[in-house]
Amino acid sequence: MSDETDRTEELQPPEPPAEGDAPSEADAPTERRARRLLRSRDDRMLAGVAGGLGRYFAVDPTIVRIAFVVSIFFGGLGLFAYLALALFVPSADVDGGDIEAAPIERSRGLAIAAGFGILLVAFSLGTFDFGWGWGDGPSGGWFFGPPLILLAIGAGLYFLLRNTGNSSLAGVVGKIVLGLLLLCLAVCAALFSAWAGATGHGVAVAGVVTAIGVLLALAAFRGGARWLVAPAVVLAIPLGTVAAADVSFGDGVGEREYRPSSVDSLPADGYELGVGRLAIDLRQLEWGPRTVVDVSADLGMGEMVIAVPESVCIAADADATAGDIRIAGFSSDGIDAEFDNEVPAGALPRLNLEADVDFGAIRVLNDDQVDIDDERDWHDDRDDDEEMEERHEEACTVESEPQTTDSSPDQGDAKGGK
Amino acid sequence: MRREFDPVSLVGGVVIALLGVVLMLDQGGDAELSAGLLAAIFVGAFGLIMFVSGLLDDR
Repeated sequence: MSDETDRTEELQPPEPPAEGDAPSEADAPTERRARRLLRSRDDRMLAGVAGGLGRYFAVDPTIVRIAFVVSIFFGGLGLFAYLALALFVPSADVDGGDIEAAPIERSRGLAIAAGFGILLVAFSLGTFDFGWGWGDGPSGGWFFGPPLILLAIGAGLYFLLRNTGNSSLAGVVGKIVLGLLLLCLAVCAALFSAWAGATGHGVAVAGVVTAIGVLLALAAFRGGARWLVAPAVVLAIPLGTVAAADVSFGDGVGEREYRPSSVDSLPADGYELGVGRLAIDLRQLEWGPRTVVDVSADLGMGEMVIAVPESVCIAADADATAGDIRIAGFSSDGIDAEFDNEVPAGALPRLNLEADVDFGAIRVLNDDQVDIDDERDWHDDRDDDEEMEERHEEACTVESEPQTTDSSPDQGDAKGGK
Repeated sequence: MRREFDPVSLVGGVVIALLGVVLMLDQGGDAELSAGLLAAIFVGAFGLIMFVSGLLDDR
């Protein structure tokens, strides 16, 4: 694949002039060649760049090597400079004998890899937001950028080492690069599988898993192909996780906050969110002494926070496939966590709550002051749990017999959110 | 040395194919699997593959 072009003889030093001939320009070149920057074939650890620079500037190559290493920690530009020098500078022995053409001149494959690597790095830096002030694209540069850059550098290093005679080191670098590449592919495949499951295309991915299984079974009669287990695992586990969590991006992704001011504004089908944070502040409702409000909330993955007035009794039926439930100071957590409390029928005002989360947390706060947007205000504070528990017990205390008429000045049995 | 028949691949292939069918049924709405049941199926499937691999592998 690499197109090895032997251009060494094009760079051979010219024949010395015959005796008696007029001196030509070729006679003078000795001094010019001594000033030509060449990589060293004698004094080299990788590509002879430091040796060549040391010879050119008449400094100890060790100092040059140290400078390259230190430069990595100051922006890494020294690394790019090293690669560029290794690619574009020819090499020669210390006596300036045969000059070997630069690797990028001798190998088309290397030139292509180097060009692709440079483009990839430029694309990553210009496209993704690394948070360093570079790039103005979608955030996530911290996720995609470094692997892309590492792969580009690794691939370039592999070709460079292979073309400069360091085959064993090139083999090691090649394996590292291949491993990184496979890891990136596995992560991308896993994310794709999870996304497909969450967007209703999980049947196709499950079909691929089934096909891999059939292929693996058939391959058993031809010596086996155990490596097929790896892609099956990469696809099946994220899909299974999304299936178990019943995550659906169709229900929305992100943060949703609701502050209904009346029972009529409560959604008939309840509150739903696929992935993210669902916050419902019910303290703005018109709570009368005999008000009963029904609310349901369904969250696939994330955190659900519901705030109710301190004077409201909460009758909750909450389920978490895997997560944490804390309602008015009471808690339940783990796999298939449940919370179902019974309150006196006459406990008014009352909130009848049905809450479900597949992976995540449910928080119901009976607190008039808490700011549900500020997690630090209430998150995991045992003292707050005890206070909320006491308030809830007080709110659920039946003080008088409830009236059964519908003509109350308040809303009575307010159906909402179901 | 490659054998003509690899029982581990056969068992693994069958297990993975069945796992794929279960996922297809769940994703297609024909079955509703809880997280606990799915976790048990996954662990059991890959545990069986590893068990058979350890039992039959002569390396």
